[in-house]
Amino acid sequence: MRRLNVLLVEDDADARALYAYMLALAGNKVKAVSNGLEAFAEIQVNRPDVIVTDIAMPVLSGLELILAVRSNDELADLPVVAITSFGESLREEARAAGATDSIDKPTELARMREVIDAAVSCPPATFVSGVVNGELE
Amino acid sequence: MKRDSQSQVEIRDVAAGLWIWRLEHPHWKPGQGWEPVVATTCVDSGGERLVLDPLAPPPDAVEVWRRLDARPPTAVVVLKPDHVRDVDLFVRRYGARALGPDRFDRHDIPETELEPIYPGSQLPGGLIALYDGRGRNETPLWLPEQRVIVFADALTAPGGELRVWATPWHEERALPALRSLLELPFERVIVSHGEPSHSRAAYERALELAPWSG
Repeated sequence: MRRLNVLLVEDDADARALYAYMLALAGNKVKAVSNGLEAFAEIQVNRPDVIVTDIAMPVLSGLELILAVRSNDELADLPVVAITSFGESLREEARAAGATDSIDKPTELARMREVIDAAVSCPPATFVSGVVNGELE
Repeated sequence: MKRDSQSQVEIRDVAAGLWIWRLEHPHWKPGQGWEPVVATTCVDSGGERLVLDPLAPPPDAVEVWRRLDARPPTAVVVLKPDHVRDVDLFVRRYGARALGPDRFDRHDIPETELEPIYPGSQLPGGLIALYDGRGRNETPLWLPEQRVIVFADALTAPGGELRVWATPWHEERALPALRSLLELPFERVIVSHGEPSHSRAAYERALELAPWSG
C-alpha cells in the first residue's frame, strides 16, 4: 500500500484521535479536522489522496461535504470514504451523495485499509447532482 | 486497594469498569528483570467483560472469584506470546472467547485456539489493539471507555518507576511507535510488572528515560 495523504473528518475528538492513529499506523500521512467546513477549506489548500469522513457532524455534515466536493470541477474525482455508525440507510445516502464507498463504525484497521485501497484504485468518476454519470439508464 | 482476605492476592479498582488483581507469578525466578508480583486486568466495555493476560488466583482468593463469577468474562485476551498464563483455565471456566497472538513460544502454547489479533484489530467491547514497535509480537490494548492503555511488557515499573523495556532498536523503532500512542486521549496506563497503574505524565516521562534492561 502506498503512503497516502488522508484527510480525516470527524467531530468526535476520541474517534478522530483513534482513526488518525490507525490511519497513520497503516503508513499514511494524516490531516485531521473536525467538520466538513474545515475539511473543505483544507482541501482547497492541500488536496489529499482520499477523504475519510464522518457523516453526522455539526457546521457542515459529511453528506454536505461530499456534495460540495462532487459539485466542484477541480475536486469532483476525489475519492471519499464515508464512515458512520448510523447503519445502512445513512451509508446509502452517502453513496447517493457521491461517496466512493463507506465503512460502518466502529471499524478496524484491516477494513479501513481494504476500503481506502479500493477507493483510491477506482477510476475517477464524474458526478452530476449526486448521481454517477452513466449510472442511470 | 485491598487484599483478598484469604490469600495474598491484591485487588485494585482503577476506574469505573476497570480493576486489576495482582499475585505472585508461579514461574518467577530471580534475575529475570521483573518482580514476582504481576497484574491481571479486568475491564467492562461495550457490554462485554474481558480479562487481559489472566493469571488465575488460588481458590481461596474468594473476592476475585466472586467478582468474576458475578459477571463472567466474555473474552480472554493474551497480549504477548509469553503471557499465556492461565488463558485455558479461564476459557474452560467461563466459556469465553479467546484472542491473542498468532504465534507462541514453543514451550508455552495454549491449548485453546485463539482468534488472532494484530495492531489495529478491534476486539469485543470496542477495545483496539495497538502497536508498540518492540518487535515482540505484543499488542497493547486501548480501552476507549476508560481511556486507558494496557501493556504486557512494553513498559514496566521496577521499583514503581514507569520505564520502557529495552530492545536493541529502542530509539529507532520502539520510541516512535510509543510516542505515536500519545495521539490517543489516554489518561492512565496499566502494566503487568511492578506498580501497575500510572498517569499519562508518567508515560511521557518514561519515553524520556533510559530504557529498562533489568
